[in-house]
Amino acid sequence: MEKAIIALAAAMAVSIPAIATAYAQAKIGSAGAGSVAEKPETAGTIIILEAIPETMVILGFVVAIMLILQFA
Amino acid sequence: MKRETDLPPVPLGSEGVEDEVRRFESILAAEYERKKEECRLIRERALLHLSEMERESLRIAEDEWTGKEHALESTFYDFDTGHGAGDEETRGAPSRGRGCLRGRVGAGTSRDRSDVASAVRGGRIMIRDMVRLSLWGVQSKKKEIVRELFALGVLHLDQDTPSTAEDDGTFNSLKLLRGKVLGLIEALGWDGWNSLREEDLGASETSLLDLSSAETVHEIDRSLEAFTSRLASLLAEAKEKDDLLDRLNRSEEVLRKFTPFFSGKAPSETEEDSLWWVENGDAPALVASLAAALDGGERHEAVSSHFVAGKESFGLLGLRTSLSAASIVRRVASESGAMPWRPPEYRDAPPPFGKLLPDVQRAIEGLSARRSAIEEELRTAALQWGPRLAALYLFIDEKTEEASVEAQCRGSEESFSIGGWVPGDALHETARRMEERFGTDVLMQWRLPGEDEWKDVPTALKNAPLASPFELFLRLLRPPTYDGVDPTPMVALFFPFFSGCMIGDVGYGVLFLLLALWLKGRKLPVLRDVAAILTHVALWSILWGLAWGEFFGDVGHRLFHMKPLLVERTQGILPVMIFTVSLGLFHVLLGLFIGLCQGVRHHHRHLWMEKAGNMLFLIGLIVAILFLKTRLPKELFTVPVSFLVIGIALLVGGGGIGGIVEAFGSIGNVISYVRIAAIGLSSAILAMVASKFTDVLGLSVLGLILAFIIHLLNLVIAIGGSSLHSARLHYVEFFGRFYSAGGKNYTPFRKRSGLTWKKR
Amino acid sequence: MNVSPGSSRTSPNYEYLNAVTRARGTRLLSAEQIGALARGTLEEMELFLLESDLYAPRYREQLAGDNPSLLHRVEDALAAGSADAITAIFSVAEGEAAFLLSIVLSLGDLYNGQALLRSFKGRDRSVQGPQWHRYALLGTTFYDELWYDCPAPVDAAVRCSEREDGLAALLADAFRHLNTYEDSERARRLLLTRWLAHWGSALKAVSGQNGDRMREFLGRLTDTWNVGVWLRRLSATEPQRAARAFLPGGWGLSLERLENTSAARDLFLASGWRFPRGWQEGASASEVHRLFHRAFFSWQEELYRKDLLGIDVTVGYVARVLSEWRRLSLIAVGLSMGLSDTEIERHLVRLGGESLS
Repeated sequence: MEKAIIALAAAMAVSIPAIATAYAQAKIGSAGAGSVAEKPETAGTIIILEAIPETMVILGFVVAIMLILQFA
Repeated sequence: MKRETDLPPVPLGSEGVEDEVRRFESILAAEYERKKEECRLIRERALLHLSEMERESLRIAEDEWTGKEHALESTFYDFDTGHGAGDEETRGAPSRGRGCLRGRVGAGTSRDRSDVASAVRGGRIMIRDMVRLSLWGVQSKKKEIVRELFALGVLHLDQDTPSTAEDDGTFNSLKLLRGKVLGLIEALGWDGWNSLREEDLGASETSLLDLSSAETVHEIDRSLEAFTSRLASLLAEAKEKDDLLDRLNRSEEVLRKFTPFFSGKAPSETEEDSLWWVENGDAPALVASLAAALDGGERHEAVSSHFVAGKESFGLLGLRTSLSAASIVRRVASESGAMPWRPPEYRDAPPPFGKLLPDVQRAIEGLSARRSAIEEELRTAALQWGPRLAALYLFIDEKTEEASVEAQCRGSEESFSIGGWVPGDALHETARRMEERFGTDVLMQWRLPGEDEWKDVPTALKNAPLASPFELFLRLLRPPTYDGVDPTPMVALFFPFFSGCMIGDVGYGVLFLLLALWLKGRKLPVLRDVAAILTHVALWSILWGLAWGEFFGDVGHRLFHMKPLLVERTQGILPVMIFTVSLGLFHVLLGLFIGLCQGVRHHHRHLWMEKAGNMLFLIGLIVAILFLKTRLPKELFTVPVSFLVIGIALLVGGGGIGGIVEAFGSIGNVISYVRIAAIGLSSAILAMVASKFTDVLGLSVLGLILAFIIHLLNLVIAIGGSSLHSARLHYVEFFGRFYSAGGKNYTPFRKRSGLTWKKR
Repeated sequence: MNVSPGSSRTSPNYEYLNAVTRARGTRLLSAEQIGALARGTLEEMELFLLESDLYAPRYREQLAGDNPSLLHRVEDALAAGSADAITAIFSVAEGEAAFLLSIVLSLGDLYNGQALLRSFKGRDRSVQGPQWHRYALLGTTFYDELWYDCPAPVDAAVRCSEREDGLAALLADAFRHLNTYEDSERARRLLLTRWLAHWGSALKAVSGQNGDRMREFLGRLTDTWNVGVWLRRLSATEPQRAARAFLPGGWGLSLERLENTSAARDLFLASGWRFPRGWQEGASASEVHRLFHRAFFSWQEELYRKDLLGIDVTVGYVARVLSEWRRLSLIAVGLSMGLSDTEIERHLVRLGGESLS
């Protein structure tokens, strides 16, 4: 039972930031596609902007691994 | 330009002309020697400044120098009466021209060339050294000189030089003509730029090359006149026909709806048909009031009507009444706001509507036929004229480019000057070609850019063949500033390293290697670059595959008992994570270090303080964590703490509160490298899943197919995911520490060729 | 062109649309560039157009045609180029964004319609018509037809009815009205009322901030019309005054306030509008009217920097493009008439929005 809860917690630690990141990246990506289409030279900036929310998932992943390794 | 006016005027018509002339000659000779010496001094001074890289004074010196030369030259022309004033350089000058300029050329060029050979080896990091080239030439050879520069294709002009007024006339009419020809091509709808061949272009060029610009423009414009007006009238007719066709089609639709009503029973001689636009709700009322109006009089006539409601608020009402009642119908209808409908072309006197439909249909047919004839004519014209106009356009475009360069030249009646940037390694060849071709008619001078000029110098990357494919990554960004760092070699090292670490499979690595070999044979330069990058990635994948002990997942382990050299990724998650984070720490610190060096090199105090603070902060933090986690002697704990304190102090000094925020950002950046472990882990697990299928389903066809499909999927994810994330680590985490993307691309003016046809 | 809130089944793409719009917005000319053009010559303007992003394709089209007049070429290229800029944005918009933007574009239909309604008396229809707002939803060809092929209002009404389109039906109504009553002012008023009602009711389906913004747009438009009516009532006799009723649904000026205010300054201050230049003492009636029109456009232009995830950016962009078009056209005409640069600059400063009256 306890293992199940830990697994669930780990899953949530990844999935919730993943959803948030997806939401943010969808918006940023859409805007980015628009500005790159008109101004290709903004591609660099757009890549950076697009990458910023991704950190959330990475942190979530670290937390999940920590949860599993510490408690499971 | 200054002109010397302090010489005594020539006393014309005096007695001792011979004496006067002799006296003059001696004055002039002395004056010439004096000026020459002055020029030499100024020139020496300029060269002196050159090595000191004091731009401003150099420019002043240059101006002064040319000013003096011109003043001297014009002085000599003014007084040169054929008696041979001055030394041998100017003797006979009127016929051969521009003695003074010629005199300086040879010496200047050869001397400077040897200077530059040693001076040009500057301290750029993977960025080509640029030299500022100033060129003076005699006005009469301007066209040829510019054309030669065009052919050399190495000179990057300053964009902001204002054009001089004298050449604008031709230049502007060239621009207009270029616009017109391109407009014609666009109006024709021709778009076969890629099908153009070099040979086609050569033909038009040679036939026109001899004409000077002004005549060219006039000639071409005249030859296009007839074609332009024919095309315009064709296009206008096409549009007109389209409009009419559209309306006739609508009329046909209307008439069709009323065909049963009007032609069910042919109208007798005394009857009249009419069609009215009526508001949808008003039709019954109108018919009723019409019937009442006709009934009310002495006539007793029937009104037959048919109403078709429209999509919007209006509908069509068909009426058939007696001819004599026509005026009453018109009055009643207009009183209730109805409007008569007639097909186009029959506005004044429509024949009976029942018979109209075939007419309209015939008209539509005729129009359509004419329309497709026009279409055909346009198509033929496009095929016939398109390539010719395109060749003409490219020719004019080239002329315009040349003219724009000519217009940017500053100068006087006698000479002109032009300045720009040339890569140091191309300078020798440029000087040689110019000297060979024009000899003493040009004067060239070059110097290294001064520090305050760096922002204007264009950037051209220069990398070893092994690293140069990775310049691809910088094409998405603005180039680095001239004084900045080109990170391509670092990318060449770390990008495949990270990607390979994520893929980490010998089998996949071999497949990628094969793919790279196949791509290598492609024509497109970009694909060849990609192939080179892929080769690097594949090799690192194989190495990392050996380290993780993976060959198509655990197939290697199962078949040949392959053992990991380091650790198995699916088992040792934590060690791999720690490894990747330390990799990240190293990479970020490296980036910070480069930033620090930049700051120190350019005496940019805030920059280096911030970077150094950031580095100390990160190191202090990591060491502090190590102290807490391991059993290092606690007495030394003050070391990391003092690192942290100094680091924070530097950060605040360098960037204020923003510096602190930046430092925390770099902690996030370091953690971001965990993705290497995460993506690698998922790739390894997916590969294992593939093998699992053969466990569950046995070595059956289905099991093998499923395993194959999963591997294929994993392969795609592996190359896509790993390169994307590896690139991202570079763009965001690494470049963010030092990259200053404020440079200008090096775009010399040159002939367009090969696949680079561009319309604008 | 049938864009209705019903087509908002596809979700609006404000992020993409606004990114494209803002990227294209950087191609608009700066005040310095416009100033430099005003100080130049018409020939220089021609070359400038040929090298500009927005107008170059249209100017090349003009060069390839056989239009001999330089001024006409420039004016045509300006009108077509600016319309291209607007329709390009419109073609990118999806769902709700496309619907809301179509309101802004159909303002062009309103202007064109008003110009036509005014033109039936004493205008030679065989010569070139007015410079249409080419971005209008019904298309330039349609307005050209109405101009060249319809000598009487009734012909125009029939032509509009044939089109079987909601907006064309509004025009048909106005032309029919003109045909019956021969009063172009009333016809124009009818067109505006119907136009406002048409979009007002369509807008009911759009809730939220973006819908509110467009309601404000319609409200402010109503205000500008009402100010015109108010000014004309000032100089009118009692019976005339009754005939000139205000339109309901204004944004800052309620009917009550309009009825009860007698000084232009009070109207001005009570409107709740922000004016770029503030109140000028002793402003004439036409100047007051122009102030409101200019404020209407400057309000729209400011929206360019407001909500980045809503309709604001595109509304602002359209206003900026239109403003640029007006300025450049004014400069072109000024240069061709040989006005001095100070004279042209003076006109540029006074330039208001297109007036609805």
